[in-house]
Formats: sequence, C-alpha cells, structure tokens
Amino acid sequence: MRCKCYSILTIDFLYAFERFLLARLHMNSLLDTVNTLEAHETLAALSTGVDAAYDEIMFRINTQPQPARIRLAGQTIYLVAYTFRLLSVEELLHALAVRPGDINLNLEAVVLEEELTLACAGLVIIDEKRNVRFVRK
Amino acid sequence: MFALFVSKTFSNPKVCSIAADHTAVEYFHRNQERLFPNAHIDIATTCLTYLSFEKFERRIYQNYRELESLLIENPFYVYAALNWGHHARGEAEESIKDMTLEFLRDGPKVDCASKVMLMRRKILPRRSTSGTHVSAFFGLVTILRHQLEDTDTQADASLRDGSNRTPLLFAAANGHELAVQLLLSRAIVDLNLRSMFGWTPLLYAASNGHQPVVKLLLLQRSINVNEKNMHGWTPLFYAVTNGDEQMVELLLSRDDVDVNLADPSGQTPLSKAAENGYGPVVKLLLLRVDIDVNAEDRVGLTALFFAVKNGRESVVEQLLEREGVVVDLKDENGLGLLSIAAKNGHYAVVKLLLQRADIDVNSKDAEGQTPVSHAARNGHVGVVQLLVARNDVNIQSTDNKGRTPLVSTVEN
Repeated sequence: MRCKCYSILTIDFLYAFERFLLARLHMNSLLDTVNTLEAHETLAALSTGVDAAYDEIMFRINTQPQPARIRLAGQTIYLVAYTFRLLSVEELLHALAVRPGDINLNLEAVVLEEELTLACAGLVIIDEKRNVRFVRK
Repeated sequence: MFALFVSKTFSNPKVCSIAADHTAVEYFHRNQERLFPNAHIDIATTCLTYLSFEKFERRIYQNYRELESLLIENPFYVYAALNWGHHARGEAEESIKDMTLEFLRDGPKVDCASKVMLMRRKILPRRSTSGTHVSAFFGLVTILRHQLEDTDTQADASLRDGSNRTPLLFAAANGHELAVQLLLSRAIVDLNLRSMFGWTPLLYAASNGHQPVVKLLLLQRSINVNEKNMHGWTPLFYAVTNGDEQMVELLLSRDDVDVNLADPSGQTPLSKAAENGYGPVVKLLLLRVDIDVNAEDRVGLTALFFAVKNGRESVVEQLLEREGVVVDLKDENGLGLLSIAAKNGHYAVVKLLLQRADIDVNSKDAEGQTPVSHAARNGHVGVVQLLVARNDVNIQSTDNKGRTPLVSTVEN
C-alpha cells in the first residue's frame, strides 16, 4: 500500500490538479488495482496513453471561457481531422465561414488565422507550406 | 482566474510535445463516434453550401482560364467539388438528401462543380455532365435512387452526358458496387455503350481493379467482354498488365473471352504477362485450352521471347514446359533466345534454355556473334562459365569481322 501511494505521489501534482476530471478517472483506475505491480502498469499506461493525452487537450479546448471559440475550435478540428487531404489555411478559413443556407460567402464571417490557432489550444498549427495540420512533435 | 488557467495550460510545452501529427489524426478517427459523430455530414453540408453559392452559376465555363480567377478567389471550391460526395456517401446521404437533390438539379452549378471534379492538370472538360452522373461518380445510392424516381428530371440509368457516358460508367469506374447494382436493376442500359474515348463500364472497372463491380457486370450476359477502348486494349489486357491475378481469373470465367486478342502492337495478354514476369497470371492463361503460346506480335516476337529478354525465370520455365512452344526464334537483329538471355546476363534463364535439346547453342546473329560472345562482351562471367562448360559450344567461332569471343571481349 505504501508503494502504491508513493507511485501516485510521483505524479506531477499540479498537473494532475489542472486536469482534475481526468485525474479522477485515472485515480479510479488506480484504486481498482490489487497489487503494486498492477498499479505501476496502470500508471505507465496512463502517462503514455495517447487517448488520455488528447482527451485532456479536448477537455481544455471545450472548457474555454468563450463559447464562440469552442465552436470555432470544434469546426477547425473536424475539418483538419476528417478531410481527405490537408487544407491550406485559405481553404480552411473559407470552409469555416460557411453557414448552412448561405447563398454567398459572408466575408465578415471569415476569422483570423491567429484566432484559429488560439482557439485550438496549440493543437492545430499552420505549417511552412501554409497547410493547417495537427502539431507535430 | 479561469482565463489565466486556460492560457497557462495552453502554453504548457508538455501538451504540445505529446501531440504528433499522425497520432492526432488517428486519435480523432478512433474516437469519432464520441467526439464528432456528425463530422462528415457537416463537412458535406459545408461543401455543398459552398458549391451552391450564386457566383458559380453565372455562366457555363468552357476552359480553365475562364474559371481560374474564380477558383483563386474561392479557394475551398476545388476541395468541395472533388470531395463532397465522399463525405456524403453512406448514412449521411439521408440526412442531407434535400439539400443534395436541390444542388444536383441545378444545371449550371452542377456543370461548374462537375467540370472541376473531372478536371485533370488544369484541363477543364469541355462537355457537361448531369447530376445523376455526379451521384453515380460518388456512389451516392440513396440520392441516385431518388433521382431515378424523380420523373421531372427524366433521369434514368441510360442517360448520356456530353461525352457519351452513362451514370453506370462513372459508378463502375469508381468501384461503387451498390450504385452499379442499382443502375443495372433500373431501365434498359446499353452495357456496351462506349464513351467518347471508347471506354465501357467493364473496361473501366477491370482497369481500375474493382472486382465486385466486374463480378456484377460479368453476370450480365449481354456484356461484351472483348470490347476495346481507343488504345485498343480489352478488359483482360488491363487486368493482365496490372498483374491483377484475381481479376484475370474473374474475366477468364467467361468462356466468350478471347484470350488471344492482341493490342495494336500485336502483343497478346500472355505475351504482356510474360514480359512483366507475372507468373501466376501466365499460369492462369496457360490453363486455357484456346491459348496460343506462339502468337507473334507485329515484329514476330512471342511471349517466350519477352520473358527471356526480361529474365522472367518462372515464366520462362512455365512456357518451356509447354508442348509445342517455339524456341527457335530470332529478333529483328537475328539474336536467338539464348543470345538475348546471355547478352542481358540472365543466368537462370540461360540455364533453363541450355536444358533444351532443340536450342542452337552456337546460333549466330546478323553480325555473326554467338551467345557466348554476347555474354563475354557484356561481362557476364557466370553466363560465360555456363556456356563454355558445354562441350558443344564453339568458343573459337569467329564473327563477321573475324573476331573470336575473346578478341571481341578484349576490344570492348
């Protein structure tokens, strides 16, 4: 039990607090373990789990104070994730400006590039070829 | 306080460093149901709305230059025209049905979008196509069904566009099995209708490797399996050239397929398969009783010749096992099979040929060179060793200029 507590303590506490919702889930899975070995394995899985890391980013994006930014981020992310090729920033900005039922492009609905990257919490970047993609390591 | 927390964590390098480009895409695909269940519907809607903007129906565009400035001003148009249907295909079709049908009924808008869709290297097709063709192109079965039922538009499966293409041709070319099935069940379609460039649905499906579609088409008795396009190629020829074993097998299941039908250069499917070294395809073709193994092309070259020339060992082996295969062949320079293999240094092929009793080991070409001198001149030591080990190989034979293999090797 002491070993278990020790392992948990090694988590960056501040970091864990910031993602308290996720952290609680992680804690639950930790408490479900029956021995130290399992606890270690679970911890390893949590810290390297890709999904957990992205869930965390999504959580941060979706808890931004401005609803407009959350909406913008969501649209940007699905356009980057589910289109069949990379979109250039110009293409993406136009796509984002389209509202269902529009009969012409509303230029006032086009957002700024900076707004885009800001809303997506650094998850989305504009690369040297002016394509919009997810950030690379 | 909250804002502070947000900006602080957003600049946290830890967050950025975990995220690699493709892992992010993989994450979003893995968790699409949970995070963005309507993503494709939303993207398709965005594309269609963009394609339906008023400015795209002002005129009928005849060439790329007329359209260029519009495409630059509206950068999302090309992606939208090329991909809206891929986003819409499947379950999304029903939910955006009304919007899609409205767009597809709009002649000028469809004209512009479909031209961009079919554009190749900035060359805009001059002829128009219809909304029914576009939904067949993308394989939008639900939309297609509505279009075919809509009596106002008079859309039917045998509708021809400006380039004499049917919706079936588009569906077959892109491998949309369900759309092909639907179109085959509707109306009287001329299955062998050739487009402006001589393409039939079967030719397109076979050349693009769409087996399920080819299967469906072959079930239609009226289909002509030996139809050639403007390049003079048959469906079998495409399947063979692609080395697509299963497709060849599928096409050979029809007994009316002409296995010896040659292309404009006179090459038969067997010869093409031999040239490319597609062993399994050659095997399939040799199983046919009506195959002509010695069919010659325009300059008199056979399948065995091409296999030897390219050093296709397994194919040479298969062909040599065949009774009645002609080995006494010469190309336009008088080079026999053994000389060709020796010249190109195909050790295994030379070995196979030497096992034949009916091969002339000292055959001379137009310059009087023998296989051993070809191998020697080109520095293929192994092949020379193989040849000189035979006691019937004359290593002292002289060519037209009086040189022995040794002399011509030194001269080279």
